[in-house]
Amino acid sequence: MKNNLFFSSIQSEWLKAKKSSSSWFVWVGALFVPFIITLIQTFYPNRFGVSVLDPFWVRLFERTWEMTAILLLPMGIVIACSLICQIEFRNNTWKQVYATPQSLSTIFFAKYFVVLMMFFKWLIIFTIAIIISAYLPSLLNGRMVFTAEVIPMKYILENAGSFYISALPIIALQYLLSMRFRNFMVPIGVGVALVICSMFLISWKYGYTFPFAYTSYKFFEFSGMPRYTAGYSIEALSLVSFAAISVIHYLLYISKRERG
Amino acid sequence: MEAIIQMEKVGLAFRKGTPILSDLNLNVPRGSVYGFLGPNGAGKTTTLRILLGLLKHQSGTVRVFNQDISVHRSDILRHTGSLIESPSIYGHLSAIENLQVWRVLYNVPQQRMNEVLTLVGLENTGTKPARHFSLGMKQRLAIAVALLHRPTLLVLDEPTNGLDPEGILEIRDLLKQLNRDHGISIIVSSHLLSEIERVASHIGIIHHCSMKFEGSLEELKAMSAASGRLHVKASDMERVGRVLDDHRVSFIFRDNGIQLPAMMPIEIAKINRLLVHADCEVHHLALEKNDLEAIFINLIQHEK
Repeated sequence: MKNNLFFSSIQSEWLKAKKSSSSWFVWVGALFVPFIITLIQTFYPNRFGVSVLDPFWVRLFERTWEMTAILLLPMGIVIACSLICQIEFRNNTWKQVYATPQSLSTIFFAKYFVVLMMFFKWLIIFTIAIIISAYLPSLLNGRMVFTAEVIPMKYILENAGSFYISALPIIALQYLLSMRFRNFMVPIGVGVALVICSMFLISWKYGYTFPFAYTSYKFFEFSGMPRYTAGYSIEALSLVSFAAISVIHYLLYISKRERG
Repeated sequence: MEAIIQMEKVGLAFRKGTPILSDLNLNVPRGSVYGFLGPNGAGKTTTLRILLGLLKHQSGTVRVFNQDISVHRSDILRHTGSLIESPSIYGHLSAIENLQVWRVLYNVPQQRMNEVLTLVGLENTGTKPARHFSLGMKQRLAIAVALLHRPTLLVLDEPTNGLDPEGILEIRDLLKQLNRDHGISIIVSSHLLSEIERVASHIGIIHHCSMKFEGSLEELKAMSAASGRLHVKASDMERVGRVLDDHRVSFIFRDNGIQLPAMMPIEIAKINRLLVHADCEVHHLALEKNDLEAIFINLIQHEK
């Protein structure tokens, strides 16, 4: 019964998010960089040309993730998370949600799950769009030869998975801020400030202690220029900080005296 | 009559020394429409929020369907529909999509959505997003949400707030219909007695964090009759006063006349005969009853 209610709760949360601005934002955010790449390749077709030492797909993914991992992805998470939680604040619906027979844990985790699924949706659209951005210009101008290369799916999926994990702490912290503050500007403002901080902290010796920088760390590792992490893997650091922030958030959430 | 809601000595204070609710007792009989009255800031919304588990009380007990809200919150909410303050509607979704959000949670058949939309008169809104609805339509959609899972108890906080007279009438008729035809017990708050007396069978009046009156509408009306005054005006009020004194009738001078306690018609006739025999030129003799509004005002002003 409890499991059924949890799935119903996820379904309910998904229905709210599906047509919301957060859903549109995920589409726009996922297609933005591939669209730019498509334009570049259409007008400068040999920019990502064939190279024996540096295969096309590797260079293409490095290029797209470079733009994305350091700035666009963290910024996108900050905005998308806030938009999802704002659905309840903006429509004054928190009190109605809490007046349903769902437990507080169900409400917390169902919404969290949908936030994580939204990011997963972004990752899928983004990855597919990158692949299309490679093929589309060659179909248009017929001059490129790289399409003869086999798509390295294992490489693409492994790296996409790693980037997903490295972004989890940002999602966790933004979920916390967005759920706690009714004013939209608080989670956005704090999130943007932390993203900017992460850009400076990436060159600091102890920058690996700052969860907002993990997507950047992952990118440098991905592009063969790993930063110092005291021997810890970025994925492990990300998972630990994600778990820690989530537990703290959950405890803060269930101890609130007034709801809605 | 069995109570569907029982609150006993419920207390709540956000800050020490400034209670929001103080030893509040509230009993809503099953099958009734309970009008929960009080001026703004009296504690109505806080009480209803406690009833729905949105706020934790610090003392006393709250029982709904004979179950403690602190222990059986989910079970209670499964049979309770609510509308607290402004309507909770997802503006980017249509009426049917709004209902769909709640339908999956309550595991209600699809067909029920059309039933409640028809019941509140929103069956023809199509794909129009709810943000483009009028306030009355939003309020009706919120009531449809509250009714979706066939609750046995409805908790409504000022459901007619901001509505035009036609909207108020519609909501009032709907509440009567839900109570009469579906047997739903309803607790509805308002700061307007005139609105509540047309729909409620029972009344509770809250002021300064505690209940000032609780009973049936008939009891409140009886209180109204008992609290009436006999008002007398004559050309020589001094003489009227002396005559009444001589016959040991208690009175007070008020509003350029004399005011006596309420009495039976036969006693009023005796007073009249007495004054006429004493050559008092009586030109006004009237039993002035307190209407419910006056009782309400008296009850809450008594505390000030």
